Amino acid sequence: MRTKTTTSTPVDVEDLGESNVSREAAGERGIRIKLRPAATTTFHIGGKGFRRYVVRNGLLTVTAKRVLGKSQTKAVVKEKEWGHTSEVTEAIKPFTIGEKIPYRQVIRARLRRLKEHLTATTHAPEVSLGERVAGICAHPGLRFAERLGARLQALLAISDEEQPEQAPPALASVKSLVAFLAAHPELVYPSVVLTQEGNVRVQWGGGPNKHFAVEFLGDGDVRFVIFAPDPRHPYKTIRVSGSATVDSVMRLAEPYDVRSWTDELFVGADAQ
Amino acid sequence: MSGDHIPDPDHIARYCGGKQIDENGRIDGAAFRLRRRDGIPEEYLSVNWLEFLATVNRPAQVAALQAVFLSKAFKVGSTARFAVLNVGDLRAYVRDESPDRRELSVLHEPEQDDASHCGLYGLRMDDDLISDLIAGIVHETYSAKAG
Repeated sequence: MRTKTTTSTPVDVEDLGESNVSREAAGERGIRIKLRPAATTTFHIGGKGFRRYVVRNGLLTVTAKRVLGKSQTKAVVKEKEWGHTSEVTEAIKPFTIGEKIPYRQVIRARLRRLKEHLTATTHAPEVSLGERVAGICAHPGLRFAERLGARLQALLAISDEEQPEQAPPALASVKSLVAFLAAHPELVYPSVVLTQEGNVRVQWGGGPNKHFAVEFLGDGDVRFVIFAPDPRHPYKTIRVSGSATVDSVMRLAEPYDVRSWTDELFVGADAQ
Repeated sequence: MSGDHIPDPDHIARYCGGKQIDENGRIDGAAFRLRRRDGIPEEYLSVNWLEFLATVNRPAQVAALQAVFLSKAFKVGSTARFAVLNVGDLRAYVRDESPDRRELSVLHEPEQDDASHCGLYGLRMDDDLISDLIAGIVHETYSAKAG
């Protein structure tokens, strides 16, 4: 017997109270855990049934629809980060319909693993900017990997040619951009430039009242500019700018309806 | 003369490196930001006064400006462009559309090897919104490299 659950508004796992949460409740409410740094990771708990956890930009969300089978005792966890896949098999207590599931324990184990993985990634020998940019062309988590990689390579070439007093492209900024785009596959391809400081700056729109630009500072922060129609007075334009973290900038921008010109859903696959 | 206001009907050109030009040839606002030189913020944005160079027509003005950059010890990028702006339009647009009704001014700041050099005053460091406003009204660009 299988129970179908639906994902609705996610809540922080801390809000769920005790460690044992009923399968139905968790399925209906979903679970979201804040996690830094930004990453896109997909967990698959394999077996007869499955659950799927997606970490996007620091948020871990349960998006699964099915419960594990009665005889399930192992979970296969696949983690993908920067094209690297690791697989871990872990014992999970078997349970039956109606039984309480230790969601918090399960997720904590996943988080621990993810954190270890991210730490290991951080401490891995640093690759050069050229290698990193070349690698972007084959990045499995980016929808526009080839186009973005080619564009960054072109910018690198321009940077080499132009004034030597200007900063070279910042590797940390490039990494931040890639993590951001991987976490937001719904975004259409933006225009990409380099600032005089060597940071990557992307922009969607281009009209006088549809403009969303984000500069990746490389330390997990961004600077953004938004020009958008005032929802109550569409003939007027709202203009805001500021600083935010990579994983919060889209949420900050949403009230200005930037999705209407940044999301493929609204813009169309072939736009830009 | 140094410090003179450039008249509103006249035009200025900003050198924009290829890194600040997108794939569609649009100049990004990053090209209109003040920089830090040796840790010290620039006082103004460097631009050139086109009518000072030649009054015949735009191609003649641009050719003269290309020659000025060639004569300076300045590496002109092959993809770099001059963004041309009308002084009056620029000042009015920024004044009308910026949240703080920013008042910009363009003053003549001649240099030894660049008599048409001017400064766009009124910008601040990290003034991304104003820079993007300026980029939004660039409708004329020309290659910065001669030939």
